[in-house]
Order: sequence, then C-alpha cells, then structure tokens
Amino acid sequence: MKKNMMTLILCSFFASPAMAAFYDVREAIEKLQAAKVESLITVTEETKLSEDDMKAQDKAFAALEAAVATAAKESGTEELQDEIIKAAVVLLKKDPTQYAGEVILPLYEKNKKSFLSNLKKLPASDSKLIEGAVKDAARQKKIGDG
Amino acid sequence: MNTINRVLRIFVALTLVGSSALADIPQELQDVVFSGDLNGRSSVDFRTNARNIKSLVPKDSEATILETRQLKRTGSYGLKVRLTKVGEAKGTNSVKVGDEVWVYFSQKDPWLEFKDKEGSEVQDPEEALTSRARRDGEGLPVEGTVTNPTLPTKELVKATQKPLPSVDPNLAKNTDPKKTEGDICINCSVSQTTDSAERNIQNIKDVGTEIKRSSDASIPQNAAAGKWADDPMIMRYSEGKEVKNSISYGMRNKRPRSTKYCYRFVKRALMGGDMIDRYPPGGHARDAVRDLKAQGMINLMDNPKYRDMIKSPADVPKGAVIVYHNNTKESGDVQIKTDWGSNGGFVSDFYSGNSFLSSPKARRYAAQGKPYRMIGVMIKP
Repeated sequence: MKKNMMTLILCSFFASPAMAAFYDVREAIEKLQAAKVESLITVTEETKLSEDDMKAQDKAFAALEAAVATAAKESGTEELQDEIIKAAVVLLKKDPTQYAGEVILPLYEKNKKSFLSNLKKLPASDSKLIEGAVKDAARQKKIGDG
Repeated sequence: MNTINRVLRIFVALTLVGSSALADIPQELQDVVFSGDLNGRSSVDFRTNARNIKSLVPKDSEATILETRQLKRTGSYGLKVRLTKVGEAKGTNSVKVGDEVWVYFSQKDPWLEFKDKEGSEVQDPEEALTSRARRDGEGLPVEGTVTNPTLPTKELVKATQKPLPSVDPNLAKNTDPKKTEGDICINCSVSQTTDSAERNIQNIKDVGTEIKRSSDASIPQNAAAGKWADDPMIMRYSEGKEVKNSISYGMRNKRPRSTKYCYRFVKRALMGGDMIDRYPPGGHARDAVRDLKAQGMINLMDNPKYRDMIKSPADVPKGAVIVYHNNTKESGDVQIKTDWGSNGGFVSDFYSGNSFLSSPKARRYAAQGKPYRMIGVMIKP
C-alpha cells in the first residue's frame, strides 16, 4: 500500500508540468476561439472605428498574443499553432495595419521552417498573406522603418 | 590674451564645421552577422541558374565586409565577405574561417545584421550599403552591378509614381449616370444668361469677386480649417500646392495594407510633392523629426502655443507630417494628414480614416504603459 502511494505521488510529481502545459494550451485555444475574430469589423479606408470596435479588436489581439506566448513556450502545440494561424489570417484580412504579423512573429522566429511548412495547409492566397506580413514584421524589427 | 581668444574661436569654429560635416556621413560598414543560412558564391552573380555556389554560410556566422555592389536588375546588394566565425556547420559544404565569398542582401527579406567599426548596429543599411557600393564601384566596375548607385532622387521618385486613373473630366462632374453631359450644368452656380448686356454685368461682377479674392490671397481661406483659419503660416502651408501634390502623390502610391515601410512612402510623397529636395537618410519613422528639420521643416510641437492647440491627430492641420513614438526601441510611425479636422484621413504606406494612435498596436502599447504620442507635427513655413 505504501509502495503504491509512493509510486502515485512520484508519477503525479513528474506528470504535473506536462499536465499544466496541456491545460495552458487548451485554455489558450479556448480563449482564441472565444475572441470570435470572424465577427470583427473589416476595417476599410473609410471606416472610423467606434469604441466597441476597438474593444473587440483589443480582445482578439490579446487572445492571439497569449496564444502565441503559450505556443512559443511549450512543445507539442500543433493544434494551437493551427488555431493561431487561422486567427491571424482573419485578422490580417480585417485590419490593414497588419498588426497580427507582429503578434505572431515570436512563433516564426522560434522555428521558421516549421512555421512556413504549417502555412502549406492554407489556401495559396492566405499563405502568401501571412508569410508576407510576418516577414515584413521581421524585417521591421531588424532594420526598422515603421 | 587676444591671441588665445582668436585661437579658441578658430578651434570652436573648426569643431562645429567638423561635427556638422560628420553628421551627414553614413555609418561605415565593418562586420556582418548571419541570421539565416545563405549561399556563399564565388562571384557577384545571384541568378538562379548561376553555377557559382561555393559553400553554405550557416546561421550565426560572422564576417568582415570586403566589398559591396548594388545589383542592376533588382536593386538589392551583393556583399563580398571574409568569414571570421562560422555558425553550426550543416553538412560538408560549410564555409571555413578565412574563406571569402559573395552573399546576397535584400531589403525585403534580410538575413544579415550590420555593425560599424565600433560594433554598434548600423541604423540604415540601405544608406550605408549605397555609400560603400559607390566607393567600391568607382574602383573596379563589375558586370551586372551599378557602378555609382545613389539614394532615390526627386526626378526618379516623380518618374516612378503610379499614373492617375483616366477619368473624362466632363463625366467626372456627373454623379448621376442617368444625366447627359448637357444636363450636368442645370444647377450650376454660373448663370446661363443669353443677353449680352447682362452677360457683361455678370462678367464684371465675376472679375470684382476674383480681385477681392486675390487681394486676400496672402491668407488662403477654408471654412473647414476651424481654429487654424486665422493663422497665416499654417493656412499658407496647408492650402499650398506642395501639400496638395504631396497628398496626391501619397494617395496614388499607397498600398491596400501596411508594408511596415511607412517612412519610405512618406519620404517619397514629400519628394514627389516638392516639399523636400533630398531623400531623408533616417531608417526609422521616429527619425523623421530630425530629418525633416534638416530640410527646412519645423515641428509645431516645439512651440507651446501650437502644442496647446494640438491634443489629438484630429487637431493637426491639413498636410502636416505626424511622427509618433513611445520612447522604446520601436521604429515609431509617420503619417501625412490629408484634410482638416476629423474629415482628414492619414496616408503613409496605406491610407486609413483613423490615426496611428487608434491602431491596435498603439492601443496595445498604451495598455502596457508605453503609450505612443505625437513627437512631431511637421510643416514647412
């Protein structure tokens, strides 16, 4: 009985970081889905943003930023990365400032090859949009302009 | 005593002349750090079918720059480097320390970070590369490269702008497609008199109105100007042809969405509109205040009177160049206001009805306690 208890304690001790990471990833995915990026306003040249529009945008970008931080920290986050890329494509289409490119930059910098290969799952136009935005953000970070 | 005074004056004058001359000299390129794997080539030929790839230069390698050339076809650069440190080798084809190879540098997709002689990061690689390529090119011209590259001139900027959409000027007046050309003038303010005496009286009245208008020409009028309407300096700037042409250039050449090159587009718009004569050297939007001051523009935010009048981008006069920064390492942002008050949009590399301060990025930084603010509202007096 004592032996079993010890084994159980040891197992839970070693498994707890992995479990915590699993819950972090699940939470990030749920928050990203709850941000409902599809329902955000599409900003055109004539759009004057209202307070509500700005709040909805802020919520979506905060969820994306948190998800990127989790994906850059943890390993085995393929599902989360797919969700991030899906959300980023929508945000890039709806926001001409292309801020989503800067938000997902840490993910691109963590593993460029894996990031770019993940884009192959997307339609060509979406893949081009996200690759362009993230490379522009990387170039701006490195050599500037604005 | 007199001699000491004179020597001191000469010393101060020489120091001032020397420092102002040095201010315009671009940073000297010295070393380069590879942030990605690049091909090392034996010659300055970067075409896909060129069979000159000698080796692979792995990420994190470091090298000294020996020679720089601007490429004719793409405008990108070829750099001849000597390796001083080699990153983690990948395969047998990796370069060795001491090898000399040509590598490719593109502004669009840079995999190189530049350092000057003091080991500081080079602020504007394009300017530094152009300067170095000029010096190297004069020594020994190489086929496929530009011998004497320069930063864009005003003539080049004007020549490369997008053409205006072709619109029939008569049809442009007509907003109702059902109306014919003859119908358009039904509600025009110009009276359609048939009698010659009446027409003469009308013409005299028109001339009188025109003379009155031109006598007030020292202060251009615009009802939309609001609080700026009584300021002759602002009105002359905002209603001037340079502002009109700069906005027009910006609107013609903007992109549908941001390319993170706002300053480059604003530089070109200002040159295309004859607002400035030389391509500003700064590599970050925040440098615009310094660069534009050097070309005769003034910052309204330096004057307490104007600072009190400008609390938000909506208060900024038409045509002013707004520079934003938040005292971090970020490049900042720069936009040209396209109209008066809240009618005005903002153009840089793309056009928006909202200022940069309303952008998701500015709001995110504000929430983190690093708010962006307007550090420059530049006009040309």
